[in-house]
Amino acid sequence: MKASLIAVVLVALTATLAAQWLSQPTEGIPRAPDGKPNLAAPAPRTRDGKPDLSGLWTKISPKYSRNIAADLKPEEVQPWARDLVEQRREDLGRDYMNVRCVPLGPGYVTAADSTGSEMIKIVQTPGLILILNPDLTYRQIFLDGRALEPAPNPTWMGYSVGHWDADTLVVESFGFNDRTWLDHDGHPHTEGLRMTERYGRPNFGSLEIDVTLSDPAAYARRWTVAVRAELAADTEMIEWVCNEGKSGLEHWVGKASDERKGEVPVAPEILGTYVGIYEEQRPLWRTVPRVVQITLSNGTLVADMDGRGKVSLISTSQTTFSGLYGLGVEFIQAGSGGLFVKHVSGNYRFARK
Amino acid sequence: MQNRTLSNQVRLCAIAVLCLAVPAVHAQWLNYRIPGVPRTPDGKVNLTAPTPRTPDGKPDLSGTWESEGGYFGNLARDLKPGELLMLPWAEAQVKDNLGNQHKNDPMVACLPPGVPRINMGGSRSMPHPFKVVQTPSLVILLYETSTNQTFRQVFLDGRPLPTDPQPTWLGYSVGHWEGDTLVVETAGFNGRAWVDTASGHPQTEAARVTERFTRRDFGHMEIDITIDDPKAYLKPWRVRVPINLLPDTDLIETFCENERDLGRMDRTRKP
Repeated sequence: MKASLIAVVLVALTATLAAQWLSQPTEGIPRAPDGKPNLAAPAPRTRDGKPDLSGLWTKISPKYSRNIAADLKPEEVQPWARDLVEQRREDLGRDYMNVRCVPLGPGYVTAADSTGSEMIKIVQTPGLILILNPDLTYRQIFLDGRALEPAPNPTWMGYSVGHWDADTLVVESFGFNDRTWLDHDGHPHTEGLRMTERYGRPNFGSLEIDVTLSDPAAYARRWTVAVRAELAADTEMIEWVCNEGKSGLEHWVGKASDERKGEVPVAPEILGTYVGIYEEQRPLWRTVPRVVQITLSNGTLVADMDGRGKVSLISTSQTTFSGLYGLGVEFIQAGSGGLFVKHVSGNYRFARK
Repeated sequence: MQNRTLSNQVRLCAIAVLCLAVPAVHAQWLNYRIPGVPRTPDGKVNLTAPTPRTPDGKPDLSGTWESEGGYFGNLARDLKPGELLMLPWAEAQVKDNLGNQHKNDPMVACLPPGVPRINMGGSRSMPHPFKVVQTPSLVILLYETSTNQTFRQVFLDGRPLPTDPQPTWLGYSVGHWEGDTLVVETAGFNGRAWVDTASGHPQTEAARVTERFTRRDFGHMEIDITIDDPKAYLKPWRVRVPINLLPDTDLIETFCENERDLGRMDRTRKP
């Protein structure tokens, strides 16, 4: 079924979970008497008195990793960029960076659910901060006073300089090539993209990152999205080498609009019973449960997951639908109701709230 | 040391595999004057100044470094007969690689170079330096490589090497100080990476690589490497590779685009 086409390929990219040092106690973490990390303890500081951002972090960004422009009005996205997002959606995302085994570029900070970018490791020294990604890419953020050059040669990872604004690390980046997408939905950027990240560590266990994007050729105004990260204590990153896998691109066929061809009429009174808010019964490995909101608009069922944007669902039977960003939806009528989000890796159960 | 300019990158194309990864030549900060570095009166970095030290008194290996040439092609180039004894299958594989211009090299498929090959990106035709970023409990090695940018983490927090690890390209590395030498031990390889290029000395999952990093003075370092891989070699073998500081420059970004280039790299390979 078409809804699962994206899923087939993404599952092929899932990393192996059994690696080494995944339960190695992390040095220097304040702990409760029972040995559990005390993540509410104050943020550590370096010798020179700056907050120490070092550590392994799990990023939480369900909304913006999917749709970086979720808070923009449609007309604030330039027409060519809107068209490109629509084209990439229609093509079922087959040129996404992880499919082509190229880096995510500026998207690493807001990406959280792409294989190879779930975590970051920050290594902080006075003049240089490194951000390491599981896919073996890295960023160097220079704090030695150098300035960004006005016309750098474009690169995948861009160039970054940082400075401290009181207890906030401010990172400014420029010089990205225009070949990466800012999110899963396919929002593009140009070589003119400038990104400013502000990193704060309010306590030992959390990191708050504001990311401001400015790219006038693609977006009418600059805007800021918020990413959160939680300290991943007592574990380690797993090496992920994209080129090792087969992309399965030969099986990645069809268009998003193909889903319309099998549409089945469903009575409005039945659709009305599906309206509501549904929360995922969280699998162990997911940091934050996903939330799906179902509404009815002009006789069509509309869904939004995690605020990333409303999409019209396409009925494939009286209870099953496609069109949820490439995923399927099946409503459960027994008991108090609920739904399954259907992915090739399995059915994910959501309870009605 | 040469400027890292176009001419280097053009020479790099002598090896077909590497053409796909020609990095951008006008990247910035390649001639950036790094603050806090000892200099001679004419402003050049004083490469014979004493080895810098960290606040805890250890030698500070931080900096951008490049190996002397030739070891990327053949890591065993300095060895005398009998110092490197291969098992028959390994010997046959090396002979095959030498006869076919290393067409089975994993780097041809944009895969990582492996250890210690990854340290050996130095020569006039192959300038791929690495960068050391040192903290007391973790040393990061950043690599440019001729395929994709890559890093290694070397843990100095006392954790043991894994006993039954999930195999990886770059293995798992722990380090400790012996006097002024950083001793890095690595195991847990997937057995697919090569030890060098033209000869393609193999590596198995049983390999254990010990790299001893000694910074002699500001501008010079040596890596003393021992490869213990009983499933490929009759006995451990050892090479010492001189490493030079690249002053006032930095790594260049490289990425290898497999889909675009694979069909061009070897005419006998089906795209």
